[in-house]
Amino acid sequence: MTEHSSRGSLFKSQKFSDFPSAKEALIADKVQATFMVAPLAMKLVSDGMPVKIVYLGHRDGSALVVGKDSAIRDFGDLRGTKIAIPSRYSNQNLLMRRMMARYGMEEGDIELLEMPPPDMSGALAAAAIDGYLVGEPHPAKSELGGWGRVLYLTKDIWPGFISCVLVVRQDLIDQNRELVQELVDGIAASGKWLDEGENGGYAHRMEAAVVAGRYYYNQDPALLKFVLSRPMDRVRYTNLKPLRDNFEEIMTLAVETGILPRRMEFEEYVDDRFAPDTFALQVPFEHLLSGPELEEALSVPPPEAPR
Amino acid sequence: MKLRIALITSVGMALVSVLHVTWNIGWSELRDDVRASFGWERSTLYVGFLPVT
Repeated sequence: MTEHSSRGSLFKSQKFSDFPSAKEALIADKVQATFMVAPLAMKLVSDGMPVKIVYLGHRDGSALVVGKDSAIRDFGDLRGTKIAIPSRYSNQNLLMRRMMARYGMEEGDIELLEMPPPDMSGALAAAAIDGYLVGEPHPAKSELGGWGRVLYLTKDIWPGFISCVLVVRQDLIDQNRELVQELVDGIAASGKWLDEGENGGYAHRMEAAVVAGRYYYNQDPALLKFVLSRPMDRVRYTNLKPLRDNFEEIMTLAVETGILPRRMEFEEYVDDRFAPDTFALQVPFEHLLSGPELEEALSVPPPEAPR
Repeated sequence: MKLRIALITSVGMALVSVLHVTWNIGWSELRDDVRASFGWERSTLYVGFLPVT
């Protein structure tokens, strides 16, 4: 549990290792807002849970990884393989099915397994699966570890890919709109800071990698530096307003796949009024670190993937 | 005698309260609640996340 103070409010972040736990915590009011995969949020609404998607966590930032020495060279080679996805209620699942249709595959041609994201890299290393499609930094973990190879970055097969969204309980929206706005403004400002500056925000990203790795994710900052810069558009943190066209596309795929029982109107599960005008938004900080820690963050370059 | 009983009761209640906050609530939670109730903090929001993009 970590704490953040901003404009007088107190934000406490709670880390989860899988999406079902985050969902249960939201239902039980242990957290009033959480990031979760988009179709899972839509499923919650279709089940009658009063929540709304108010903002996106990021765009792109997922990758399909296969064994480094495997013979798989394109999606067609995945026929007959086992591929892990974070949840059946994820856009990673919908993307796999969309690609399967594009390559003329049928249900069962690829065995899709649900697996908590932190377990995926180890499962690939142990050859328990042939690959996985999930958000960073788990694809990069296999790449840097020397046993994984990126087959596709999602930005190349579903541009503007949406993985996680910010979901807020409706009772909080009704009772304390200002607090929700403050949260969304803070996330939007952080995203703007990450993507702005020289070379697409390279210096800011190096700094963020150290802060997130050391103080939040408990992961090697070098791994996060790699994720945030190789290439720079591997994951993006701007253009995060939930757009109707994007969600209509997800809804169509989710209903076709059968993970949602009915089509819902955009307004039933999205409240896009909190998304700020990011051009006008002021970033209330220049640096997250200072002194030797900042110098270290900026001077140590991201690692290279082993050849 | 009455004063003594009152004193012992007060000390006992204080001790139980301290233990209750320590074991069941947490001092940081109590501090945040007090801040919020006096308007020093507007409110507290718990936000869940996974260490995955």
